[in-house]
Parts: sequence; structure tokens; C-alpha cells
Amino acid sequence: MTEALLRVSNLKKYFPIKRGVLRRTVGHVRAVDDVSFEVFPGETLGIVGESGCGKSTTGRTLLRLLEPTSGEVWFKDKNLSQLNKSEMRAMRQHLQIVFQDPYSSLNPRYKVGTILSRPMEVHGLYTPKQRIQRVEMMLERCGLNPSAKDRYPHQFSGGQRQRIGIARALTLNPSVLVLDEPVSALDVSVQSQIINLLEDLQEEFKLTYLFIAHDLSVVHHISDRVAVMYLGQLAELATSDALFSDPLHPYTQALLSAIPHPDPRAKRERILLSGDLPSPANPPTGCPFHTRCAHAMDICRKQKPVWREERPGHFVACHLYGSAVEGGIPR
Amino acid sequence: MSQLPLQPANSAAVAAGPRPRTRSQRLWKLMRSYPSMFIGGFIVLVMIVVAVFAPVLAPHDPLHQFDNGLNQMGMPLGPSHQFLLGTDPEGRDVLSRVIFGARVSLEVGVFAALISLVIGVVLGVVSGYFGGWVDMVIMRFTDIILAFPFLLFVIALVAILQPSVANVYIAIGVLGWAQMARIIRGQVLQVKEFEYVQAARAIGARAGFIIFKEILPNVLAPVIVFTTLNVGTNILIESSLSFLGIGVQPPHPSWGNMLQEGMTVMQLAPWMIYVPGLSLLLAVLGFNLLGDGLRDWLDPRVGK
Repeated sequence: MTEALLRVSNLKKYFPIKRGVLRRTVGHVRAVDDVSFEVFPGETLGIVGESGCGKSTTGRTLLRLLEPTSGEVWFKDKNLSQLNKSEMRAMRQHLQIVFQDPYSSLNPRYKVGTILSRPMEVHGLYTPKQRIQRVEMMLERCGLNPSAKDRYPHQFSGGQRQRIGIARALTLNPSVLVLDEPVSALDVSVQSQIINLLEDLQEEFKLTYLFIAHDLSVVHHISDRVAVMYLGQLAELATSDALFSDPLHPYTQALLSAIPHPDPRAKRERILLSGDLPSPANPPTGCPFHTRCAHAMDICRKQKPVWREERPGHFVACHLYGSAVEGGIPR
Repeated sequence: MSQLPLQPANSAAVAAGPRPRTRSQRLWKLMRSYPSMFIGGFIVLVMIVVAVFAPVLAPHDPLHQFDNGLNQMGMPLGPSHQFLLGTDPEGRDVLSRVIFGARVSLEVGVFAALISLVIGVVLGVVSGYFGGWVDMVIMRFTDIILAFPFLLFVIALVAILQPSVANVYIAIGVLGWAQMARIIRGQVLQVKEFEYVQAARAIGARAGFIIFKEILPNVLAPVIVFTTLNVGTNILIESSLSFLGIGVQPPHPSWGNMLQEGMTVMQLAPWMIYVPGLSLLLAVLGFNLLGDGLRDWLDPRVGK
């Protein structure tokens, strides 16, 4: 297998909870709790999970938009968590992000051309003339008219603004793009256009995507491999096809059973989860999912399951696999 | 709206009304929508013109004591052809003094507001953007400043600095930034969370770049509004100081010390307090109307 482009190991991000007059720290929200994965060059790794599970925080923490509590992020042979501020600023050229909300991600005071040439200006790349050419080229590549550079963000629709957001991320020629729910704020018809655009751009610019979303069908479509997150931890990681056809973790199975099926008469079993998502400030002991899992055993309540490769390339954190129980769960 | 049933084809055009086309039409629409901004703006403009062209506009030297400026009993004269608004107990022309007083008021109001603006914006932005203990320290300091009776504090500072026009606006400006800092901090906290600020960080921009290029342009509206209102307040404070005798020193004219001089002869020469008093009222009203109007115009969410 090829060398990983991005390696995340034991990443943790805890937010302190402060109470009282003295603002003492009374606890932590474990938004990302010991997450490790690798991203290979040219692939799309999808991260799915319900809201509040820490998928966006993972994306932002690995870019150091939020400082990680602990853990390491390696980009090629550089440890991003060890870089000082100016080294990290320089490194940001290679790692870019596209945000969820196309309305708040563009500064309303500037014309699109200014917004798009900012990244190059900050890094001192190209001459002013070349920057304009590059802005026009990027707008065109992202399916917009180059004349868009002379207009303001509010003059565009949500889908067009998301294209501008993508163009901005690409002006620096990054190799990794974190897509933080890039289509969930858009209409379904526009979503598919943006997804197609992202696929085209990936091919053209040899990009590696970290695609964060909660929409399973979108993730299935665009991702090569998919990671499932639950309560700040990874539950399962496998190739997209393996995960969607043969999910191992009970949580993944429940998630997948919630996807609507195009054939209303198709017979299928829906796994309904009972209870609410536990608070990440006070996560359950052992396996974080045991409070809602239909297959929970004693060991799940006591011991945190290890992250193991159940099948080649198919990782899962669940006591149902491995030595604990023979044969896995009945399906 | 007319009583006629709307035609579907042009209902949008009817609902929106005729679109103003020329520049003067647009201006007229703006004036009708925000009358207080234009009334206030007009008053402020008049005041600026009067202050700037005071030497040209004033009929006499404001410091000159006219031999014929007092009557036989040594009392000030009422309005006449020579002295349009009468004279004061020293035999000086009240109109000329009021005109030169506008200079002092405007100078103190504007410069004090600018000093407050700079201090308030810097502290507010630093406090809001960096947060943590920096925010804590700056905000508690702001609370302390706000807890003191403002006028008393200014009086103390002017007393230390020696009364003069420059020291008056320095004292008012140096102590008047607290509210500005709070407003800016609140705005920065809000704008900071927008994803375009995150995007700027993701690009690799420095904190200074983000503050000046991404955040400040988006908090400008309340800054302009508050500074305008602040000018009015400062004019009032300057008058209070001069009235109390620690602002502009006689014989130099200021609306505040004119009021004070006039108070002693109020019964016999009421113009001595009406003239500077009304000028003060108009000036403060002008800046307040302008500030309120600007707020309605720049930030439609508040007010109205």
C-alpha cells in the first residue's frame, strides 16, 4: 500500500466546561476522544456520524483551527502538532478547508476577486497580475463566469457561493482538502452539482479529500473509504463498499438501516435506536455505544473495545468481534 | 397602495414602487427614509462651517472690550445693530463669542471622540479577539472606569493636567473609551465566529491581518454611530467643565463659561444665557440626530 499522506494518531480535543464566578473548570466535553486514522493520497475519506459526534471538530482540530488537546497529525513527514505558529501558517498552503455555510464563509465586505486572491496575497505567491489570472481560472474551473470576480458574495446563490468557497480553497494548490459538510446547506439538486464538481476537481488537481457529512448516500457516493464516528470516537472504518454492504458495528448497522430505500415495497429491517445520544461531557464507561446497543454485553459496560482490523482494511471497535464472542452478531 | 386590483404581470413593480433612477431621486428617497440623519447632518454641517470660518463670520473680535459695550450703569447692552446679540458684562460682543465658542466645542467634541475611538477600538478588538485572561483584565479595567462618576474623574484629571482646551479633550478622550471598548468587544465576539474568519485562519493569515481586513470592516457601523453620538456627549461635558471653571479659561470664550458669566446677570441680560444655551442644545441635538439616523441607515436591525 502507498504511504499515507495524512496520519492522525490519538487525536483528542476536550473543551473545558467552566462554571461559577471563578470560572473553574468542572469537567470536559470530549468532542474528539482518541481518534486515529490515515488518509492516502488521491483518496476520499468520508467521516459520518450524527450531529455532535465530533466529526467537524476532528476536521478543524487536524487543521489546527482548534488546538488539539493531545495527539499527533502527520502530513507527509511533518508533524503538524509540533510546528510553531509561523511554520503552521506556511503549511496551511497544503491543507485547505471548505465550510458548511456558504453564507457566513465569505466576508460580505469584499468582492469575490479580493476574497479569492487573499490566500495568494497572504502567502506572497505570484504577482498581482498572475493572481487575477489565477482567480479567473479558478472561477472558471469551479463553474462560474470569470466576471464573478467583480461582484459581491450576496449577489450569488447558495450553490454559487459554495463554488466560490471551493475556488478559494484551491487557489493555493493544496493537496488535502477538508470538506466540512460542504453540501448539507444546499438544495438536493445543487448538492449533486457540487458533488460532481468536487469529483472533477479531485481528478484534475490530484486532491485528497476528507469529506465530513451526515448524509450517508452522499458519503457513499463520493468516498473511497468511510469512517463512522460516535461520541467522539471512531466506531468503524472500511472501504465505502464494504461498509455499506457489510457493516460490522451495531451503530453502523443502525445508521445504514435509516437510509430510505427507493423501493417502498422492499423488505428490510429497520434498527431503531432507543434513547438519546449520551452527553460527551459524561460519556458512558466502556464502549460509548453500549447504552443504546441491542447487543450490549457485560464487557461493553466495563471495558473500552480496542480498535482492531477485523478484516483486511476493515477496522471496527466492538467487543462482538475478536476473541470475546465467536462468530460476531447474527444478521 | 392604490385600491385597484393588482395586475399579476406588474405586481412586483407596483409593490416595489417606482425605482429611483437618478442620483438626486435616490438621495431624495434616502432623505425621506432617514430624515433625522439629514436634519442632524445639516446642523452638524452648519456648526462645522461656523467653527471653521469663525474669524470671517464673527462681526467683532470676541476678546475686545468695547468702550460703548456697556450702558451708563455698567450693565450689558441688549441686541442692537452693532451688537446683534447684545454684549456681556465686560462689554464684549456675544455673537462673536458664541461663534468662537463653536470652535472650542467642536474641537473638544471631535478630538475627545477620536481619542476614545482609538483606545476603545484597540482595547475592544484585543479583548474580543484574543479572549481568555487578556479579555478578563481589559473588561475588569473597563468596569472600573465605568464605575467612577465620569465628570468627577475628568475634573480630577484636568486639574492635574492644568486647564486648557487640549487638556480638556485629552482628559475626556482618555476616560471616555470604556463604552466604546464594550461595544466593539461584543461586535468582535460575534463576527469572530463567522466562518470567513475561520477561513482566513485556515488560509494562514496572521492575527493582525484577520483583525484589520476581516473583522474591523464588519464592525465599522456601530463604531461610526457611537463616535458620532460621543461627539455630542463630549460637547456637553466640555461645557460643564468650562461652566465649573476648569475648562476653557476666561477671557477665551466657550459656551460653558459664557453660561456661567451670564448666570450672574440672568435677570437683566437674559440673552447672555439664551444664546450659548441654545447653541449648546442645537449642537448636541444635531450630533444625536445624526448618530441615531446613521444607526438606522447602517444597521437596520436595531432601532426603529
